[in-house]
Amino acid sequence: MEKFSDSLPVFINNIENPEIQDSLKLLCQIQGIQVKVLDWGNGRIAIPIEINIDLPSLGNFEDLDIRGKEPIILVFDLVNYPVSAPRVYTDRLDFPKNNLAHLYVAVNNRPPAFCYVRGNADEWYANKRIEDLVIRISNWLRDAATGELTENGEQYEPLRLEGYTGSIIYDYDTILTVITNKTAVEFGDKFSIVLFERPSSKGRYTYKFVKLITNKNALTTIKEVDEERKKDKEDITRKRYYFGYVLWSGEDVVKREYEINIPRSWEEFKLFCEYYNIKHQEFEKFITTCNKINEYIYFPVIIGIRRPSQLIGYSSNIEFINLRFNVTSADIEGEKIVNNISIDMLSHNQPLTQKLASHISGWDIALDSERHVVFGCGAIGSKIIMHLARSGQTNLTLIDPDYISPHNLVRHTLFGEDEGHRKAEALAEKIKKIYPYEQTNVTHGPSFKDGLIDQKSTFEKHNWVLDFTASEAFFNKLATLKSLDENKIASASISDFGNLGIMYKEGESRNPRVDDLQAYLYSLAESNKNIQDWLQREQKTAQSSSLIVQVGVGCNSETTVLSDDKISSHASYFSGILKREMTKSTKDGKIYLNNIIDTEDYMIETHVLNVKPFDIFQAVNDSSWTIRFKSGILEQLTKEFLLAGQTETGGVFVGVCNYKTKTIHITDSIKAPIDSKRSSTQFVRGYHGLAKEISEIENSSGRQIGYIGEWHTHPEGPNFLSKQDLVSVQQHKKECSQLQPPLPVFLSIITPDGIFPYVF
Amino acid sequence: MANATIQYYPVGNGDTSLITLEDKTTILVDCNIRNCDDDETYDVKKDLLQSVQYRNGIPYVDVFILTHGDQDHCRGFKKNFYQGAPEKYSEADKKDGLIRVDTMWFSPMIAEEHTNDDEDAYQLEAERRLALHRKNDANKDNPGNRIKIIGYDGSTDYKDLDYLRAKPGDTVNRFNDRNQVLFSIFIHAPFKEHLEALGDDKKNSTSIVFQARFKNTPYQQDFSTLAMFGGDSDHTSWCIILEKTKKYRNEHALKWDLFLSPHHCSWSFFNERPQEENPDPKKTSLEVLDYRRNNAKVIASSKKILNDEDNPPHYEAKQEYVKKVTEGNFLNTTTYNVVNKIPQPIIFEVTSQGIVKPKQTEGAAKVAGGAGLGIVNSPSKYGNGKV
Repeated sequence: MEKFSDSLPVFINNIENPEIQDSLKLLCQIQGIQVKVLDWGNGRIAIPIEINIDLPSLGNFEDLDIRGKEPIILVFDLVNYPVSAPRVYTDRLDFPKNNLAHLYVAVNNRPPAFCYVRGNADEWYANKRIEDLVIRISNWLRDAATGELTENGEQYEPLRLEGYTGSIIYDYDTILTVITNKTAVEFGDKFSIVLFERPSSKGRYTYKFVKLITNKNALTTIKEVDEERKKDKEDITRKRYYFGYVLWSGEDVVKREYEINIPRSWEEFKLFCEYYNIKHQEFEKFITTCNKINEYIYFPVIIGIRRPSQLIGYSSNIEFINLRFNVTSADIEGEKIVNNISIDMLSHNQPLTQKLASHISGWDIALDSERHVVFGCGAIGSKIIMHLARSGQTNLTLIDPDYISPHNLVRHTLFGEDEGHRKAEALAEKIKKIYPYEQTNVTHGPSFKDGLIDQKSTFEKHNWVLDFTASEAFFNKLATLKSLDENKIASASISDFGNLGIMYKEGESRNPRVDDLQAYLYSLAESNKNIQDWLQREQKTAQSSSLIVQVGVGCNSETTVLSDDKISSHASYFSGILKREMTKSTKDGKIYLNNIIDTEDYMIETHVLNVKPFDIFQAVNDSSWTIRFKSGILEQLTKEFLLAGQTETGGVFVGVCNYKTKTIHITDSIKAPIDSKRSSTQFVRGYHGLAKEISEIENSSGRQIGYIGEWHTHPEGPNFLSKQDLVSVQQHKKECSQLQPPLPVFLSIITPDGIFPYVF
Repeated sequence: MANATIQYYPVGNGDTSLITLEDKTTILVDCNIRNCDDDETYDVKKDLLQSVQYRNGIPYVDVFILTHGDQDHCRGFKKNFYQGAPEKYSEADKKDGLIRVDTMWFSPMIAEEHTNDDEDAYQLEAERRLALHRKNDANKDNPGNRIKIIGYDGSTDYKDLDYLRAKPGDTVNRFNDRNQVLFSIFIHAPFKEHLEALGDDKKNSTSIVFQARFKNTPYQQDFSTLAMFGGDSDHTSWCIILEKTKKYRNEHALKWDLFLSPHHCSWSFFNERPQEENPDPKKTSLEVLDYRRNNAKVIASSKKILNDEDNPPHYEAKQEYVKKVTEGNFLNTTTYNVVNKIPQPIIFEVTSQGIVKPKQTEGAAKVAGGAGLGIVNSPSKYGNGKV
């Protein structure tokens, strides 16, 4: 058998690379003979060896001529081995290369190389030995013989090419429409023009798709390109446009063979076109007569050839070969290219689409997915927004009136170039740049002005309403905003000096609501040491004498000490939750806590709390007040009511009142103190031990929760306050109204007909 | 999905074969699990525990086919496989690595009399399951209670359980309550005629004989691989198989790529024993071998075959096989692949182009020793002084 290696000279120099010496020794052991060392050129040596292949019993797939013993050539880079993996070639001149996938197209009259790993061979070889490579090639050939080489079923493996000089970015399906739907003008038979742009002269030679040339836009586009050409070359706004060409073969020419010599020169190009029945004459005429259309001597040419079946990873059987031509006026005479101009290959890159992004991030969302509105594009918000956007979710309305300031750059996802820009707008621009070839639906604004926020129609087109404003005022607004009744709502903020991330996710039909969740969380302080410690720390910092201290949220100050990594930790946790919720939402209200423990060691703990719906009432005497009971409290009261029988009984409510939302949250009920007196007509609530009990609750919750009102029963009615009741109310009111801030007097009566709350 | 495989374990004179389908369904044909006290016995149990699937931590084979009850076909059944109600499988059983048999294939014609404990255990377990079905017990269809009756009844009448039965000529494509598209079994034996058979070899001649058929795609016309299993069936059985299969125009069921030589490469496949007195192979036996396909292989699950008087394995029998398939395609489990003196299983992978050896396993550049290392499990002495 004639072998390619017979034509290689013996390598006469010394091999100084000790790793190659080792590998050669091992190859000798595997082969059982002294291997030959030949000169491959370019500082490489070639080692021809023979490997055994186990062939399938019923004959090779498609009768491929693969043999029980196959000669191969291992090529080692004398300097860079083993960082650079050996390349492996077949040593057979008659190897059935035309019918096999996973071969590199042969170049320089050398046999084709095996493409033996899907990814980067050097990376693969970093954890492999020369023995493993030999095994891999043997398995490769075995797979070829059993027909299992093409892993993706019946689809066609695209050509594997090497030696690209640059890249070209376009959406395969867009260029495909030129062929299948005639979406561009045909300047000749199966010959259209596409506008490309070179975004930067730095880095690799890259062409980016701009648009197809159609009947409608042809003239304006030429004008547009001319305008750019007129600009000064140093002008940074000057765009560098290139007219590229698309040529394709007819439906009758379907080629299965892999081995096509990619044309490297004009003469080869013409032969190539003839093989695929592509008419190059009109193309030649165009580029010679209209050679002034392109400012630059280089321009891209895309050739579409048809394969027998769909290409792996693409939507059709048309394969595009991407070339770069280099034509100067010296190459042109009349309508002919007279010199054998050189042609390079470009690698194709698919632009990132939202669909692809969602697929790559493992979050399969529908492309026409619902729109979400985000309030707050600060540190937390910007990070969560970008997590969503990078996962393909760009159907976002971003709201934030704030501008990027230098200190923001410490924790914000934006960069210095955006200083002075509105955060929401700058973020929207960044998102559009992730998907430059697609329409993104991201919109932005400083706020919903002119009462828009109160209109249902504003939120009708949105599903989720996300609050990352870290604003207590907005939180209050969010709680009571009626226009959001149909939306799903989550609000996230940071507390405890940046170490505690809290996200409230409302329950179905806005129950529990964000403020319910907040009251619930604070009420846990009684039993949860972590929450207690946190709230007490907050209280200490506030050093406020008032009962309710402001729990620190957010980090919107220049002096806030808080690192970007801590913000990112919270943001990534919340974004993970939101993505889940957006795919499949849960019914319950939930509180998500991301707790960074930054003491002896750095640790992160997360907790999820499920919160049942609150029981909601309007005050009987003043419907502007809403009373919201944590789940379970009413059951407890009913139980006590029934237990007391004909005797009146009562107790004290624990919770919090918010004047802004005119809401009283009841988080607990304290049983009547032991010195209380009960009869069928009267209940005198005692006070033994009551102060101590309230004080404990107050302290444990860092003064977030305290005494909020009272209740008693009317076993036989009436369903309204008695005279005696009203006298007590007056007494209470006297004291409560003197407080700073005043405390409303909240009194509920329980009768066989239910609970009747009063707020004075 | 990985390709289906067929694995013949090296168990000396005896049979243990494991079929693993693409969906990881396992079908074990016979077992001869010996103690691994010496250094030259392959640890079949350990291999099985790595090869079978687990549910809730319980190892299980989907189907166990006992071709017949001879000791060298069921050795170790009692000790290594779980018997009894599956819901009582305990943590201790898990620890002992007892393999649950989800579905038993049971031929009532075999094992009529007591011969060995393992066979008794198999029969007892089969009877337990048959009783559940008879009672229409709520648990009867749970894995570990499932059973398929193969062939005809012996002295006990199971007519009422006919829906559990497959007879010669039937093609089975449901295994452990799951339909297989790419795999089926054609049942050749045992026949009714065997009921009348007498003599010492009765059990052997009443072996379950079947052809395992593999495809790689549902739309494939021909089979990718055909593997013949026949326990210890002798030349008279094969004569009947040949005759009946032809009569019913089932010639496709005679073809093979892999032929597990009956009775561990015994002369009994070719003619009566001793071979010296009946030196000419029966025409029908040779005809069976002629149904082989391209590059077909004969497996001798036996001791090393020497040119001596031993039977089985029988040297002359091997010669007859070699005449048909060539020396290279005659594979003996004891000598096929020996690593550190221990014979290794013969494994074939089913591809659409037929059988092929499994891919070689690549190593890696990084390595660390495991607890199973000999070094770890034996003392190592060091030092300068005299020992």
